[in-house]
Amino acid sequence: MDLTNLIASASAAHAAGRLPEAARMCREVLSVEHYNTKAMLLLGVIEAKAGDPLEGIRLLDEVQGMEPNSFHAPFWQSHAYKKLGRSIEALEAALRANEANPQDAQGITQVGICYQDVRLLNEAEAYLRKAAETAPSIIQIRFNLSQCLLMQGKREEARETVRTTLAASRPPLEALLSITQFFLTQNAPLLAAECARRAIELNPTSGPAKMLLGRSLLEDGQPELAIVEMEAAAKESPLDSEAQSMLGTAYQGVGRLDDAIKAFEQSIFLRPKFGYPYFGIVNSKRVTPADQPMIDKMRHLLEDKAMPTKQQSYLQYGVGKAMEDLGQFQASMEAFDAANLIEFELKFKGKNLDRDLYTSQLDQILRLYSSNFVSKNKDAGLPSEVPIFIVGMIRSGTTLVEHILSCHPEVGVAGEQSFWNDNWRGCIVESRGDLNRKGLTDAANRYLALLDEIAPGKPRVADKMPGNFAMLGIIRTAYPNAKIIHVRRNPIDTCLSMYVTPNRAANDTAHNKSNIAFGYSQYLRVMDHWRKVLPAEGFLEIDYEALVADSEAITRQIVEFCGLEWNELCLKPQDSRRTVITPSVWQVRQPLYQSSVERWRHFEPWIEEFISLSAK
Amino acid sequence: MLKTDVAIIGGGPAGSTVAALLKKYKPSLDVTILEREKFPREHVGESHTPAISAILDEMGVWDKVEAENFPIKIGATFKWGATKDLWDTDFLQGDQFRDEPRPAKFVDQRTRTAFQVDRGVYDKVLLDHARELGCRVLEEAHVRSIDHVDDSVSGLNVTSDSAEVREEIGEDGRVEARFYVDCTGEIGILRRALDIEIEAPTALRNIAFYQYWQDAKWAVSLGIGGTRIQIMSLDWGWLWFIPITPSRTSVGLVLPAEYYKASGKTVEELYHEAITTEPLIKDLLTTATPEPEIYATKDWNFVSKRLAGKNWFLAGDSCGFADPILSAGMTLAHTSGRKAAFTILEIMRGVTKEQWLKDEYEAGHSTQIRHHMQFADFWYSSNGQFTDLKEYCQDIAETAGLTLAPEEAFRWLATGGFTLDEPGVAAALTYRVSGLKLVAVHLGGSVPEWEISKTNIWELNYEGAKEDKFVRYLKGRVLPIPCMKRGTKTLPLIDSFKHVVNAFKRHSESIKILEDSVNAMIAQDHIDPQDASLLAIEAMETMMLEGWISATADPTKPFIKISESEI
Repeated sequence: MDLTNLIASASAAHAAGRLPEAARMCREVLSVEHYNTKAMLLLGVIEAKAGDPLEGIRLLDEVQGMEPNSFHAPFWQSHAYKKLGRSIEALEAALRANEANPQDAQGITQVGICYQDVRLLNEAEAYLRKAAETAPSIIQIRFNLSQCLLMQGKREEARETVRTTLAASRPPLEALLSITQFFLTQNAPLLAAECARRAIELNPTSGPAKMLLGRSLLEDGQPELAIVEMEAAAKESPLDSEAQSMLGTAYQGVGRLDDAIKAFEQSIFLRPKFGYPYFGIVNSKRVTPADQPMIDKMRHLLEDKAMPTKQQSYLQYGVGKAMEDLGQFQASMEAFDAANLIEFELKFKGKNLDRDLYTSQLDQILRLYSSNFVSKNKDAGLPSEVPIFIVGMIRSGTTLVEHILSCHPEVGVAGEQSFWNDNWRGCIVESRGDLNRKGLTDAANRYLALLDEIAPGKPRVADKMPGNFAMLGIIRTAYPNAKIIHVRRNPIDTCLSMYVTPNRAANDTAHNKSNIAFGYSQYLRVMDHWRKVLPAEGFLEIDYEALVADSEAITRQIVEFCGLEWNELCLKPQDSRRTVITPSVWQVRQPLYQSSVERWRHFEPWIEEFISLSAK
Repeated sequence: MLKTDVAIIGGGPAGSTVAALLKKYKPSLDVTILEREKFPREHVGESHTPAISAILDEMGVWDKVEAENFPIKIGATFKWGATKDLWDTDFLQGDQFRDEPRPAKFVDQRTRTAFQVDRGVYDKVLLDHARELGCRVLEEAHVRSIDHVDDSVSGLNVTSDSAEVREEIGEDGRVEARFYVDCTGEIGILRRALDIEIEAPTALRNIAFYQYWQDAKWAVSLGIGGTRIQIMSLDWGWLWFIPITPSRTSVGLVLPAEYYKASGKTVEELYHEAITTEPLIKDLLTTATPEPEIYATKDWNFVSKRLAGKNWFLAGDSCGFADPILSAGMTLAHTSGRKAAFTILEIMRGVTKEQWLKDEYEAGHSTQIRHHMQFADFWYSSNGQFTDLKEYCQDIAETAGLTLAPEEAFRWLATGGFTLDEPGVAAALTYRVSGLKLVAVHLGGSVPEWEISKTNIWELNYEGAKEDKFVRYLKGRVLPIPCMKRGTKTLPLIDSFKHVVNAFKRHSESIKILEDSVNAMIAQDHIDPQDASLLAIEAMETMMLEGWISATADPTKPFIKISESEI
C-alpha cells in the first residue's frame, strides 16, 4: 500500500474508533517518511485522546513546527494538557487553536472550558456564549455554559439555560441520566436536578431518574425533598440495591440513623457483594462486639478479588472504623492503610504530589496578598455583614461550628461554597498582582445574591468551605465587615481524621501520610501569613478541643463574635434536622464529640508523620 | 528576601524583551528586572533592523515606540567598497516608502521598516512597558555579587539607594529565582561571576567616538519621517550619521584602536578631523549644534563560550558583541532576548528536553553573533576606501580565511549559514540571499554569479548528513522542526526548503525542480507567484552554496537564467 492510501486507511480507522489500528498505520507511514505531517498529526491526536498525552503533545509540537498555522495540533494538545491536569498550558494551546481557526465551534468551546478550568470565568462565559451561538445544535456547549454560570453564582441563569436546552429537545432517558451524572461529578447538583426533572417528565416511572433527582437534591442541601424522591424511587425499583444505599445516605444526612441502617441492610440484601452499604452501616452507629458477624462478612468480601476497587476501599474504611470502635487499633490502622492505598492509586494513578508546584501556587497567593495590597484595597469591598466564613483544615471541626451556628434562627447556612475558589481570579489582574476592582465588586455582589438565594432573608449566612483558608485575602478585601472564624484543631488529630475518612473531594495531599502532613504544614504557613497581613478585627480563632471541652463558653463566644443575640438552641446542635453530607455525618449527630479529642493516641505507633507536625 | 520566578539583571532592550515576552505568554509568572540605573540614561546603539520591529510588535510595544516619533529607518546609504560612489540598501527592496501619517500602525510597509532611536527614550519606553505588563521593575538596584554552586546560581545580592527597592528586596537584599538572565551588556555580570570564557574569532579591534548633534540636516527624507542612516568611509575609519529624533542626531567615528594609538591625536582632534573631511557629513552638520560631550567606547568583538547553564541564560551584549558596521547590536539584543524568553517558557512546559532547548539557544545565537562578525570581516576587508588601513584589512581577511574575489567571498559568507536566521527562509542578518548578492556588487565591483545557473542536472547530496531537529521560535513556543545536519550545516525541511527537497523526488533537471517548487509553494502555502519564484531561487542557491546539491552540466538541457530584474 502506498503512503497516501495508508494514511487514508489510518484516517478511516480513526474515524471508526479503531484507534490502535489507526496508530499502527500512522507509525508505519512515519517509519518510511519520518516527517509526514498527516501521519504525525493523526498519531498525535490518537495519543492525546487515548494514549500517552505527553507523547501526543510532543508529536503535535512537531506538527506545529512544520505547520505553524495548524488548528488540530494545538486543539488536541489542549485536550492532552487538560488530561494531565495542566490547565494553563491547556488554555494556551486552546487559544493557539482558536487563533488558527477562530470560527471553529469546538475550538471556541475548548477555550471557554480551559478558561473555566483556570477560573477566569468572565472570559469562559464569553467564549462559551460565542460557541453556543456558533453551533446552536451542540447541546453539550449549553451545558458547559450553564456550569460556568453556576460557578459564578448565577444559579437562576444557569438553571434557566439547562431548562430551555432540555425543553427544546427530547433526549433519550440514558442520555439524560448521563448528563445528570455528569453534573453531579462536576459538583453541580442544582443543574443535575434540572436534568433529572426533565428525565422524570419524559419518563414518569423511571426509578433511576427519581433516584438521581433525590441525590441531586440531597447534595444541593434539600434533604427532605431528596428523601421524598428517593423513597419514591425505591418503590419504583424495589430491587435496586443502589437506590437503597442512596436512600440510606439521605437518611444519614438528616440524622435518621436507624432508617439509614435499615436501608443499607436492604441494599446488602439485594446485592450482598458490594462495599458501600457496609460502610454506611458502620458509620451510622458505634460498632459493638455484637456486630462481629457483619465484620466477618466484610473481611470475607475483601478476599473477593472481583470486587471493584472503589468498593474494596469502602470496605476497608468500614473495617477501620469498626475496629477502632472495638478498640483494636492496629487492625484498624491496617484497614485504613489499605483503604488509602487504594484511593491513592485511584485518584493519583501512581503520580505523587508535586510539592514544589503545590508550594509555589500558595506562594503566588501569599505574594499577591501582601500587607501593601491589603492596605491599598481596604476600601474596595462591600460593607455587607451577611457572610460568615468558617475556615480551617478539612476535618478540623468546621462542620461542627457551622452546625452550632445553624441552630441560631438568624443564621442561614450555605454549606461549602466553592465560589471564592472559583471566582478569585476574576478579581485580580494577575499579571500585575493588582486588584480588579470591578471584578471584585461584581463577584462580591454575586456571592451575596447566591447566599440570599440559598438562605433568603437571613441576616447572617455561614459558608463553611474549609479551603477558603487560602482565600482569606480576597474574602477580606471583598467584605471588610464579614466575620471569619478559623477552627483550629490538634494537627495530629486533624491529619489522622483526614487519613481515616473517605472524602469525595479529596485534595492533592490526601491518602498519603507524609503528603497530608506536608499539606498541613503549608496550611499553617498560609494562616501565619493572614495573621500578619489581615486586620485582627472580624477574625476569630477557636480551638476545636476547647469547643468540645467547654462547649457553652466557646459557643457563646462564637455567637457574640457574629454579632448575634444569644440563643439556647445553639447548645444542642445534635437536635438540628439540617442535612449533613460532609464526612462528619456521624460525629455531629452525637453530643459534642469528646472522643475525637486526642483520638490519635490510640494510633501513636503508626502515625509518626503526623506526630512530627506537633513539634513544629 | 525577594523570591521571583525569573530574575533579569539589566533593564536595557534585551532585559525588557525577555521580561515582556515572558509576561505576554505566561502572565502568571513573577518576573523581576534589576536595573542599576534610573532611566532615562544615555546609551549608544541607535540603529535598528526590521527584525526588531516584528519583535516590538510581538512585545506589544511597537505602537508606543512609534508614538515617540523616532525617525523611520528605510535603509542605509554607504560610501563603502569598490568606488567612492554612494549606494543604498533599502528594506523595502525597490518599493517606494509611501506617505503615511504618523503615528502609523504595524501593517503593510511599516512591517518592513525599522527605527532609529534615542536610546535614553527608547529604553525607558520598553522598561515602562515591561512594568505595565506586570513585571517587577526595580531601578537603582545594584547587583553586587552572585552566589552560585557550580553551574547553578543560588541568589543575587543587591543593594540600592532607593527605599522602594529596599522594601521589595528586604533587609538582606537577596533575590532568588528559578531562572536568572544576564542582560547586563558588556559588563556580563553573571558571565564573569561564573567564570565563563570568551573568544574573539576576528582581528577586528575598533573603538568608537560619538557625539549628539541638534538640528543636523538629514541626508535624505523619505515619506513622512523616513530616512536612511549614513555610513561614510574615510581613509582610516568610518562615520555613522543617524538621526535619532526629529531634531537630534548621533554622529560617530569608528576606527582601529591601533590607529588611534599610533596617531598621537586626542579623541576630539580625530573626531573633528573626521567630520570635517567627509564632505557629506560636513555639509549635514553645517548648521547643527553639538552637545558638549564626546563619548568613547570600545567595539571589541567577542562571543561567550557558553550562553546558558543550569538555571541561567545570557542575552543581549553579554553573549557577545559584533562590530557596529551592520547595526548588529540591537538586533542581537532583541532576538536573543526573545529566544531566551521562549526557551525558559518551553523549559517550564516540560515537554521538550531541557538540554536540547538550551543547546539550541546557545548554538543558534552564538552562530548568529559569529556570522555577524564574519559579515563585518567581509565588510572591512572588502572596503577599497580604507587606503590608510590596508594592513589592518589584510589582517582581518587573513584571520578570517577570506579571499577577496567576489564570488568566493560570497560563498565564504554563506559558510556562516544562510539557513539559520529564520528557518525556512534563505537569509542572514535580515538580508535575503538576493539582497546580499546586490550588496556584494557594490563591495566587489562585479556581479557575483548565481551558482544555480552554472549547472542543470541536480541531485540531493545527503552524504554524511543525518536527520535531526532544528528550532522554530514561534509565539512563545520553541518548536522542533525536521532538518538534515552535516557538520555545521543545517537544512531545515520546512517552507521553501521543504518544497525544493520534495521537487528533487520528482525531477533532476534544475528548471523542472524550480517549477515544481514554485508550484508547490503557490498551491500549498498560498504564496504570491512572484515571491514564490524568488524564494525558490534563494533556497536553491543556498542549498547549492551549502553543499546540499550535487550538480553537473548538460549543455543539451536548459539552464536557469537569473536577470537582475527578477531579484
